Order: sequence, then structure tokens, then C-alpha cells
Amino acid sequence: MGLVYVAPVMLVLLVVLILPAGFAIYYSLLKLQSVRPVGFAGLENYQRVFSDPEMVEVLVRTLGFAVVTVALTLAAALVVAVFLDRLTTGRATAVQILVVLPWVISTIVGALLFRWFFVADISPGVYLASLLGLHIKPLTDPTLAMVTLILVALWRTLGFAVLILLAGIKAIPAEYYESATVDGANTGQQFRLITLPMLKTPLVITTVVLTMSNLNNVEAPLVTTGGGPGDATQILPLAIYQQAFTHFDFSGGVALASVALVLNVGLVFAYLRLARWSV
Amino acid sequence: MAESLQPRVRTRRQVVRIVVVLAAAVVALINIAPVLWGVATSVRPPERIFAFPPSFLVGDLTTEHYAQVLEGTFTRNLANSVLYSGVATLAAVVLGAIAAYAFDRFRFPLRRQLFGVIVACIPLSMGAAVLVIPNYLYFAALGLLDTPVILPLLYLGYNLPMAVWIIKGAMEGVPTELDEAATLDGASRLRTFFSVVLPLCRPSLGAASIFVFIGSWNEFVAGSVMVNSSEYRPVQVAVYQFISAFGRQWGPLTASAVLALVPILVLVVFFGRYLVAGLMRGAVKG
Repeated sequence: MGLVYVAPVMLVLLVVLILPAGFAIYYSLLKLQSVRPVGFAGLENYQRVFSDPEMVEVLVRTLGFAVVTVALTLAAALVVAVFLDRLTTGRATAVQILVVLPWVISTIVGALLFRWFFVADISPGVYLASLLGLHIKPLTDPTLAMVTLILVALWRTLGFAVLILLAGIKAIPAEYYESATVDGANTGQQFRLITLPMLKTPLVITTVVLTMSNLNNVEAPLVTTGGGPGDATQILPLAIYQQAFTHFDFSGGVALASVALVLNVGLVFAYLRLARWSV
Repeated sequence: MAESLQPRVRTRRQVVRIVVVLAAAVVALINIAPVLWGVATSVRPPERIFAFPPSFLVGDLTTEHYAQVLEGTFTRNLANSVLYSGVATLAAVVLGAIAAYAFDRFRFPLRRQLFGVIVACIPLSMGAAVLVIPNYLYFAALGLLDTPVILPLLYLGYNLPMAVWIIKGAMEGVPTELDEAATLDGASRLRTFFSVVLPLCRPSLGAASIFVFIGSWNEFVAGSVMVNSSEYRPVQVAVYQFISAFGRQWGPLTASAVLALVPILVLVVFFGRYLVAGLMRGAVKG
């Protein structure tokens, strides 16, 4: 009886999410002519893509980008969440909505507005930097372009991370802090010995979701840096997208996508273990 | 001793308060400044847009950039996105509520495993760049590319797992005694669902709707490859195409960005608390 009611949902998920995941691997082993399979290729597609030294660079760069972005976002979100926790509830909702704003803006629009405010040649951001004696053109310098991309990603996901951590902080019983105060623990000790350990699960969940989101972000590099200058900000999701839909190399694109899929599925399992889903 | 400490403690508290409020203000400013700057640029005449150093004063205003943006198919693209996101939202909430009810109230084979699949699909759906190629390949084989049904279907699929999860969380909180009481009073299963359970889940239905709508409205990757003709193009893709079409003409560019942003801002202003509550509840449940 129940199966009938959940069938429509399962069918949609099967068609849109689960089958494509399987098809990605299957197609990566085939020879494709445009979008049509014309024979079996084995691991040829993988060999072709990964014998390209640039692709190895892309993978290393993607890893660096993801690690730095996620670490910075978590650190910043933790600070902001601890601060926000001390705001009075009356203002809290308004502030929370402001905090989460960049996360509800589409990445296309967000990255566009971020670029125009912070990094375009005539932007207020570049102007403020010049007032401080820094004359920079972020998008023409490889290192600064990567810094820009990391900051866009940070800006985009910070609010999300803050809300998850804030919820975690609010779930910690106030008595813990009260008895710690009675025992003479200062604010720093309370943070280190109560807040951090109690936040373990939200922190790990946020890490998984942020890693997932940054490993799959096509739009931010596409709009902010276009992968450049040169290949300085070319990361895996953008490489997959361009391989298939700019260079129309579907077999190469699907081989890359399968590699990314394995990364994704690994993260999904990490998420599942943590989400402790219950029925 | 205690009395002499009191004023010092109070001033320290006040300093902490001021620092907290200031820090919150800085975060809020960093978050909202690019949006405000974009709005300002979209109504400024070109010579003021390209002034350096940038001017923060209100000066002459113009609607020319909006007129320029709306000349082409942009209105159509906005309407497409309203339609796609609306259909996906409606379908996700209806299908999601039914499935959530079944998962919470019925016992059937594979129930636990199937719900696990749904939870696993929440992060999986974030990997659009990965899934979009195989999706493209087999929807090409089905002849569904460049049709008006492909995007609502994909948006439904990407956002349905989250909707089911949010709504099921709320249904867990509705005591089964209420169902039993309704049944005793002679209400059918359907009647119980619509008149007893659903009304009590209203905040979650709101949270799920806003998640699905925003997720669909903001989607770019699938929208940019699954449809080709401008009559089916969603708004994010239209904004992106302006980036290549207008280059550095920031007036029309920001105008298109603002138009793509307005529906989301309206939603967030009116229903933002549902979104925040939904996110935070999900986090606590972990």
C-alpha cells in the first residue's frame, strides 16, 4: 500500500538522479560519436583525458581550491555563528536572513555582483584597496584570480554554514555553560571544551556539504574568472562542463564526470553515515 | 568587593555587546553590499557607472538599462523560470507530502532502504555538472531536449529529496493519536491526510516550497544545455548570455541581474523565516 504512494517520487529520482549516475560510468566506457554510442572503448576515454598533463594540474588545483575554501568557510562560519548566538532573538531572524542572503542568490547573479563590487577594475573593492596602497587587478594575476574564486565561494556558502553551526550551538544545553562558569572556566576554555566538541556533527556535515558544493560549482569560475587567466582557475566542474558543452567532446567529458562522480558518491556516503537517517 | 566589580562587569558586557553588533553589521554589509551596488548601477547613466573612483552618492537616475534588457526575450525567459519553478514546486510539495506521509505512517517492504535512497539523493543532486552529461545523452535519445517539459522535470528531481525530507520531519511531529481520533470520528484516510495532518505541517510545507522554488529558479547548468531556443530558456541562462553579449556594459548587465533577483528577494523577505527554520531544524536533526 505504502509503496504506491512513494512510487512517483522514486520514479522521478530514478530518472533524474540515479540512472544518470549509472549511465555516466557506462557511457564513459563507450566510444561516442557526438552523443551516440558507436562501440566499446574500455578505458580509452580515461587514458586520453588523463594523459593530458593539464588535466592532472586541474585535479591538483581543484583539490587545493576545495580544501582551502572549505577550511576558510568553516573557520569564518564558526566565528560568525558564535557571535550571532549572542544576539537577542528579536533581531536574530532578520540578521539570519541577511547572513544567508548570498546563498539564496543564484551563483550566476551572485558571482556577477561579487565581481562588479569587489574585483572589477573600477569596482569599490579595488578602489578601497588602492586607498590602502594596494594597486591590484585581481583578474589578470593568476594567484589573485584564484584568491578571488576562493572568496566568491566563501561569500556564497558562508551563510549556509553559519546557519547550520548556529543551530548546533543553540542545541547545546545552557546548563553546560552555567556549570562551567561556576567552575571558573573563561570564555575561551568554554569554547574549546564545550562548544567545539558539541559541534562535531554539525561541523562534519557542513564540511561534507561544502566540499560537495565547491567540487560541483561550475558557475562561480565561469562567471568570475572564466577559468583564467590562462588556466589559473580552471577547476574540475568547469573542465567537465566545457569539455562536453564547449568542446563537444562528450566521451572525454563523461570520463571526467565519472571520476567526479566517484568523489561525489564517496561524499554522499559520508553524509549518509552522519545524517543518521531514521524511519 | 562584589559591589565594586558590578560596574566593571557591566561596562565589559556593554563592550562585548557593541563588538557583537558591529561584527554582525560587517557581515551583513559584506553580504548585502554587492546587491545594493548592483541595484545602484542598474539605474545609473553610463558615464556615472564608469566613473573612477566610484561614487557612492545618489545622482541622476535612468531606466534605460532596464528598457534595453527588456527589449529582447528576457521577459519570456523570466516567465519561463516562473513557470518551471512553479510547476516543480507544486509537484514537489504534492508528491513529497504524499510520499512523506507514507514513509511516516505506513509500514511496507523496503521502507527504510527507500528512504535512505532519498536522503542519499540530497547531496547527489548537488552534483549537477556530473549528472548533466549522462542526462543530456539519454534525454537526447528520448528526444526531450529543447522541449518545455525537460527543465521542470529535472528541477523536480533535483529538489524533491530535500522536500520529502523536510515534510517527513514535520509529520513525525504530528501525533498518530490525531489520525486515530479522526478515523474513529469516521474520517477516511484521505480526509485525515488533508484535514488533520497537512494543516499541522504548514510551516514545513512552506519551507519545502521555498527550497524547491529557489533551487529551481537558481539552477544554471542544466538550463544552459538542455534547451537551446530562447523561447524555452530560463532566466539564469539569459543573464549569463548577457555577460557575453554586453561584455563590460555593466548597466544592462546589472539590470538583468536585478530582474533575476527580485522574485527571490521578495520570497526571502516574506518567507525567509521558513527557510531559516527549515535549514536549522534539518541541522539539529543532523
